[in-house]
Amino acid sequence: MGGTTVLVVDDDEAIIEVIRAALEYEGYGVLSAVNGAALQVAHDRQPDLILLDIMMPNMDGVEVSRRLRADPATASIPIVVMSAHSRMRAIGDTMAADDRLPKPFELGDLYATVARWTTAP
Amino acid sequence: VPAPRKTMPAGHTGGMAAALTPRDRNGAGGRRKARQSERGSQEQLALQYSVAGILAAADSVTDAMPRVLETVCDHLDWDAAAYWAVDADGGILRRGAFRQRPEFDLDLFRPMSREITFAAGEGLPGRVWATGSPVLIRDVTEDTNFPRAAPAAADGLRGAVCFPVTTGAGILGVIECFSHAIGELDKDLVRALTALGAQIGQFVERTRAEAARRETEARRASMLETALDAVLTIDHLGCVVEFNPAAERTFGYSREEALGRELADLIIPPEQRAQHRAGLARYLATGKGSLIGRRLEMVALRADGSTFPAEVAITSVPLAGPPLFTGYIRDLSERRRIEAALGASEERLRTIVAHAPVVLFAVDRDGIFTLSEGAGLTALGIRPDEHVGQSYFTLYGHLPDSMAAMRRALTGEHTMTVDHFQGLVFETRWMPLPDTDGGVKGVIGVSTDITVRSRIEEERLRLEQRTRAALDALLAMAEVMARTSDAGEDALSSVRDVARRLADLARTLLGCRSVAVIALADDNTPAPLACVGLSPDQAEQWHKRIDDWPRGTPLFKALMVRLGTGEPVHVDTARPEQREMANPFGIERYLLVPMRVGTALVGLLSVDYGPDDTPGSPGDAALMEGVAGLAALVLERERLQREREEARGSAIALREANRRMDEFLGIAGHEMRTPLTSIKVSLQLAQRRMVRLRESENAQTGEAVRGLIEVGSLLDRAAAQMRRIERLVDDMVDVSRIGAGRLEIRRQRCDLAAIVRNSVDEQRLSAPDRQILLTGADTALPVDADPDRIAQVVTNYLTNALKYAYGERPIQVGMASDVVAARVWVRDEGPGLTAEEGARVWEVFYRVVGVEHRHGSSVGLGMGLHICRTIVEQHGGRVGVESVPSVGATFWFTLPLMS
Repeated sequence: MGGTTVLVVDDDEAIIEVIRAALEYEGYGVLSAVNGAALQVAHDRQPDLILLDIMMPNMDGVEVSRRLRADPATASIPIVVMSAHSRMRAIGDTMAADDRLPKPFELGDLYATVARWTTAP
Repeated sequence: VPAPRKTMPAGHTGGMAAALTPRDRNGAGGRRKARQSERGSQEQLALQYSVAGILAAADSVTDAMPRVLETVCDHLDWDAAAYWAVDADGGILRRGAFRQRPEFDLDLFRPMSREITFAAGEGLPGRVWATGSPVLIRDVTEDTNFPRAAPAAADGLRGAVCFPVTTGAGILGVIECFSHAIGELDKDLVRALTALGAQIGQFVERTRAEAARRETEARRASMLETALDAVLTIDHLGCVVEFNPAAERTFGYSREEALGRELADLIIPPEQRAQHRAGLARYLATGKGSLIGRRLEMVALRADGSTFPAEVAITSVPLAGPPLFTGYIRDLSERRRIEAALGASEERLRTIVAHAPVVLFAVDRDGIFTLSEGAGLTALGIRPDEHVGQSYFTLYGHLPDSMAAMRRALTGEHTMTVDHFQGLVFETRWMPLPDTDGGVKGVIGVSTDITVRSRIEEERLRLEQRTRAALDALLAMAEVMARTSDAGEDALSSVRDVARRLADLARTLLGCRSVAVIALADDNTPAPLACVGLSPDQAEQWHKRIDDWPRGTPLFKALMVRLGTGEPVHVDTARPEQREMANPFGIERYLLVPMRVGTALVGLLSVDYGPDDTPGSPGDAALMEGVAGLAALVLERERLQREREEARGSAIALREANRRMDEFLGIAGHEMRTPLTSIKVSLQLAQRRMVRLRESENAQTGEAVRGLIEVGSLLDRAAAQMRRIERLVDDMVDVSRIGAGRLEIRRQRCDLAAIVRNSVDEQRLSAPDRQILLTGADTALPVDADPDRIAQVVTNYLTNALKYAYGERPIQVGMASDVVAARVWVRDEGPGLTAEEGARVWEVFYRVVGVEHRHGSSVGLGMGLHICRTIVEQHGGRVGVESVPSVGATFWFTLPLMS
């Protein structure tokens, strides 16, 4: 499976699955992880883009994004933060992220955001 | 002794010596005596006439004396004469007139005589004054009692004679005569001089009497002039001869008018004139008059015809000839008036004393009654003066206070006592009667029946005690009030406790046997609250009785109506019509006092005064009403307190419920959001794939295409519903945040017109078959606002309008602004809102009842407008709605413009 790969980091399986379905339908490769596991996946698999939910148990998105940036292997991978509107406003500004995808989002938003940071698969 | 400086001229001396006895120095006594006797009596007679003439022409002795002396010298052949007058004050003789023959010089003797005075027995004048008899001195230079001997010798004087001027009353003075010749004793001369002295004395006396008479006359005239009494004199014919100014004033006639008129015509009333004339005639005839010299009262007539009471004193004037009568008349009118007034006040005083509820009494120093008067006696069954002659100590020995007071009064002390006597109360003032020696001759007392007053006083004391009790009760009530504000007590037991205390206070205050407090519900259902003064058995029965009160009966209803007006009702269960009010605990008669707050009847105070007593005084009624009013207030306060507690509880509960609701909405919203996102994205993916499928060559069979189209429309419908759910969830989260005060507004400079245009465009897209007219959105309106939130407001207004507008009526959206604010409105033509609904639509969860929305299937949860208002108000703007029911509604909001 070549082409463009997107890592989806979320603790909600339903969200991961719907994003996976949507992105795979359009030809993206989709990886998924929960919490801190995302760091290892990103390091090992070098996705083209990371969709990161900041509301996760154990390790939140802010910490994950900080560590991704701290790891030279993953530091350059674009990160799109997914969160609720309010939370996005409050925290999004302070964390290392390249873009935002407020929840709840539209399918079109998802495609547009991903397309912005990757070459089309 | 110096020689005479001058000597007599021989010729003269010779002539005189022949004529005058004293100068017969040749000792030819016999011849001279005979001649003297003959001539002397003639000379003496001539002298008497001469002196009489002088005196008759003179006004006074002083005037007459010089000429008398001259005459004496001439007639009796003396060379000098002097008059010595008795100075009564000094007890001495002073020299008066002095005369001498002009041919002699008496340069030494004359001044000497002027300066000297003589006491009785001293010198020649003093000897005559002392003895009252004439004295003749042969030769004064040889006399042993002649102090002036030296000057007399120097001036050549030898013989002297001195005689007194006498009156019946004594010696007025003495006259002395001197001669240069030796004096010879001559009895005739002595007699003549004595007669002369008497003659002169008589004259003096007469002139004195005359002066006195003149003075008296003058005084009388002046007295008549100034007399206050009218003085008038009539003659024997009864005609007025004198009429003084007071008479003029008294009778109103002038003196001129009165003089000559008959008195009877003038001042005697016609009916008494005959009597007056007869009296006068009788006096003139008999010399006896009943009126003369007496003071009598009669009626007198004035010129103007009026009469007055007069006091008259008549004297007859003792004169030779026909008598005169003088009347002294005093107008008694004023005195009569005063006497009448005095009489009247005395009478009044006596009446007062006789009728006043007092006893006036007096006792002598032995305590024997001398007076006992006054209407106060009647109440005691004592006749006026019945006690007179009896001993106070015997009659009233049983009143110790009075006994003591009487004893003290008899020692001169003023005292006051209050005695209870024969069921009455007397206040007595004791006053000692002082005698002229500073002792006490008796006691006067005034006893006043103060029975009524003392009853009033008792009543006042009772009221005072009650007032004090009332104040205590008020304090106690205040304490009750303060205590009932303590939270955490069981409500009903608290009310009962308060009522019991109130009843207790009322019982104390009213002094009654038992008091019960009954609460009345709004429908007048009675509830027993408390009773005091009943036995436990009775109390139990009372509670049961109140619960079973026959409240459906006409009597009960009528009772409530009367009590509702605030009027207390006397209940007497012995009366047939009130028999149903009878109770099993034996209180037959009681008073029901309404307890009202304002005009609302909240309870009853049942007051039982006991079998004998009935509440009668207005004070009692007022007191009772006051107690009932207070009790009502306390109960009402208690009720309000309870309600407030409940309300506070429910407010807390509501707040808690709201908080939980907000919390729930927040959690629910967030919880729903993730699956919603998942569902939505899945739906959208399904739609997208559906579109792709329809477009693919693999599915070109008609049946497959139709199937795909149907699935597609189902997906579209699901997506539309999905959006609504999404909006609801958004609203739920917003409401939750508003409730928590955490609705976030991120302000930035933005263009309100653009926001409105975008929102309108969005709605046009989502409802392409509806007409949305936008005006006034061409000019940029800069605002400091959260564009997403403002867009949310506009969208909410729009979706509501689309939801409620009639049929296909267009929605109108407008904008306007002035210098400080922009205004945006959305107008629909729908059922509109009433004013109350218009005010309430902004409340959270408020949903207009009965309004059928036209589109879609939901009326919402009543959150949207609440969120709108919160958003706008947090931007410093206002929201509102104007509506005419059945015509439409215009929702608007304003935002401050950026300057």
